[in-house]
Amino acid sequence: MSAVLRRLVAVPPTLAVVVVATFALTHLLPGDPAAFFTSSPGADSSVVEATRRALGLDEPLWRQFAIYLGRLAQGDLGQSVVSGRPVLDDLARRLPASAELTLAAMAVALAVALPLGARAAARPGGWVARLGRLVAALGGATPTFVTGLCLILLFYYAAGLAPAPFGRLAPALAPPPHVTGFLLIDAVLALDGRACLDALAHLALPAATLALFAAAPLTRVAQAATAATLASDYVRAARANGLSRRRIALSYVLRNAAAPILTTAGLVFTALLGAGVLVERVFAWPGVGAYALDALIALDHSPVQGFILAMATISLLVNLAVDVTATLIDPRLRLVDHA
Amino acid sequence: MRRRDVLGLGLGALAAAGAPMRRATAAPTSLTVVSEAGPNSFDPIGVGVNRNSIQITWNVYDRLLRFGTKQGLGGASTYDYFALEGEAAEAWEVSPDATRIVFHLRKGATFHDGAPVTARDVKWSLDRVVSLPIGKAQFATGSLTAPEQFVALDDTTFQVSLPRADRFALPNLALTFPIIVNSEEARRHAGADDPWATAWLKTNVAGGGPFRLESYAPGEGAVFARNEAWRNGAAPALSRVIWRVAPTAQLRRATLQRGDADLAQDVSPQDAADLAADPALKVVGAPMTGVFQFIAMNCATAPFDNVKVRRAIAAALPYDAMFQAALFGRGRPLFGPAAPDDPAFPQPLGTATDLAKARALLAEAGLPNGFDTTFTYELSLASIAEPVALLAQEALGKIGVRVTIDKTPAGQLGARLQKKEVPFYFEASAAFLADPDYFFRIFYTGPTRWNFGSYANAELAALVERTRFETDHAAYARDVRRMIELAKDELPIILLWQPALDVAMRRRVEGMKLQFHRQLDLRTLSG
Repeated sequence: MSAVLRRLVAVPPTLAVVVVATFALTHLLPGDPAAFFTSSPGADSSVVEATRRALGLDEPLWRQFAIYLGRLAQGDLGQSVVSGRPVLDDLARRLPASAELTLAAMAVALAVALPLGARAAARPGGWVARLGRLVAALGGATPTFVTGLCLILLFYYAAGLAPAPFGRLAPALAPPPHVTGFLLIDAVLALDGRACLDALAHLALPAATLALFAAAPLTRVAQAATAATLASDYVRAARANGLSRRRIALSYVLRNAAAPILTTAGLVFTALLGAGVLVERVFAWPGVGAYALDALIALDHSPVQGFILAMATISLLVNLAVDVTATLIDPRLRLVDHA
Repeated sequence: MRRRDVLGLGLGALAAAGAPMRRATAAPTSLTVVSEAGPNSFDPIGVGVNRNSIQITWNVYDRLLRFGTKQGLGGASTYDYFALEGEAAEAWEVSPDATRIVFHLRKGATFHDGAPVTARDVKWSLDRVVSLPIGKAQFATGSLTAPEQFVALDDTTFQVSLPRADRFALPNLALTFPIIVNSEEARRHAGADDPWATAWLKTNVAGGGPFRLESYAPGEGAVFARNEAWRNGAAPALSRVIWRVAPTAQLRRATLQRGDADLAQDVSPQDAADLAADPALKVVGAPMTGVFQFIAMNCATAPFDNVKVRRAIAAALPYDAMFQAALFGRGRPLFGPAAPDDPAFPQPLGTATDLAKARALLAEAGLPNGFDTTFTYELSLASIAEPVALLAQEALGKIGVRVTIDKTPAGQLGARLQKKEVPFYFEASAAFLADPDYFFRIFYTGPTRWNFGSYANAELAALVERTRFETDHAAYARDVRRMIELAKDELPIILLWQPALDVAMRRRVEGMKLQFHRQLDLRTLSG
């Protein structure tokens, strides 16, 4: 337990570093937001100055930072100029959309990658192993927006099977009451079958796109971890002692291969959450990635800072959860932690 | 951008391989439109308000005046800057010295909440424009600067007084800022530190325009519903408009071709050319009066301070090839010969490709071996700017000018233009007010970044000053002709063309009126 506590204690200082670094980075970006946001020929220098004051950019940098910290302490992430709304509202609205997409993609990716990797490790020359290599190569080599556009072309444009890829729900349907922000869960809670099916249909293509991307590293790790375990002395000993294949697979192989797979899954998850930008664009998915990118291009500091802070927090928490779980699965890691 | 081209080809190839089945279209009076981005404010005046916001404010609010309609290039209906019509005002009278304008409001007009539209609402709304810095800067171009100039004479009569006759006063009242706000309602949501309810109006509508905002999802879209009680014009044909954000060109194109969208905005020249060939679709497009694209040279620094160098560049550019490669010919050229004595501007500058002349001019300028320079353009304009830059680079190489191409994000380019440190670049800009003296005042004189060539010519500055309040038409036309001569002779910016504003739609959609602000006017659309 003390290991977990020590990890928890390390979270606040890491976040403090993130806060300072993001503030410094956004203000190091070349360009003048005040000039950018008053780009109309009618605007003279007095208007630009008025805008600078309105954005609080006329203050010295240390004061801007102090104001930023003060607001942050009250849970205020500032105002986005690009979206015209408070950053906290935007993130609260968009994070669940990204999380729903990412979790669905992770679930699909794990469901594909784990059996594929395990089977490929068991029969290295078989057709499953070849399929695994194909998935890994495709997922690794194809940019997500290409996969996404191909899926749109096939399933929407040509076959007409998928709904028009506008975001999360058909415009004719009223979204279910907001509870979790996850449309699938909210629709189930509201006992709204149509909304649930429609949300699922909208989720299918973008989730498949991201899943292919995520399945690549997961398949490789699953295969490598299983292969390493299968080649180990204790599995050979188990076999020699005549334990059943099922028993070996479940209690020896799975448990020992789980730790590296879990660690990779944690990394892939955090990468997906932020790196879904292109998929979000292609499918008009109202997530955080596209939001942050728009803000970055438009020199809109608050959303960029809020996004990085949110992502850093999520990464820290996911890593923490992964480490704790890994420690529970594999007692040897506890020894490493004490050293 | 190359990626986008490849993807565009992919879609095109599939479309050619087999025409996909089309879905049943929506109810006849409802329309689904797609655009690249959504609005970020319901108030036209504010820091960072994007152009998509105008699509909201234009349709949920009325103004006193609106621009009439004319046939633009290629038969499309466009706004007519020089023909004003009444919107909330059914009539207006201008005093003989043009310093007093009296507006008569339409009887029976109401806001969405049923309250009558009164002259007090108009006064509050115009007071609001001149009380907010961004609004004031715009209104000052029409000598409208102080609340005292606006007087509600009675419930339906409203007076504007001007310090002197100003040709820009009336057009300013038809632009995007002077929306007529339900002042009672807005005032209820104003605070001591925010007397003009800017915070509330940013996210709420208090208007009386032809459409109500039924719903809005940030970053995803909005739904408009017709205001059945609208009296300030012919009743709109559409009862409902669903606006969806489709960030990629491929998505806009695919949903339009499949029939899930009826109308697509933000169509690139290439997509416009392709979609026009689809038998189920049509493309309505025409250049907007004050919108133009150009190549600028910084006249304040060497070597572009030498007019012969500028003329040499202008003689070397391959205009026809650039027009086809960048715009697919969709627009009005501003190169080549101009109609003699035309007093309108922008107009073709008389430029033509002549490499021998370009070499001779460079030699005369003392640069027979050419020079090195950097050509900059903004990343978001890349689909048009990249072919321009590459063709210019190749052509200028032939006269010894060695060009390095530099792509810069919009935010950075703005700051660098402000500091006047970009020597040679492609840009696009627009003037909403179409009188030629305004164009020269903004784009050819002064210290702002809008003087793209950093041009300083005492004669032009004096002409611009003198024509500002000129009421004698002959004197005005004479001065404008001289300004046009200077622009053609001195070439601080090389005008390239006016790009068409292209909107793609299903064949049954009618009544598209292209507006100066490039957003949809739902008043006239039907489908």
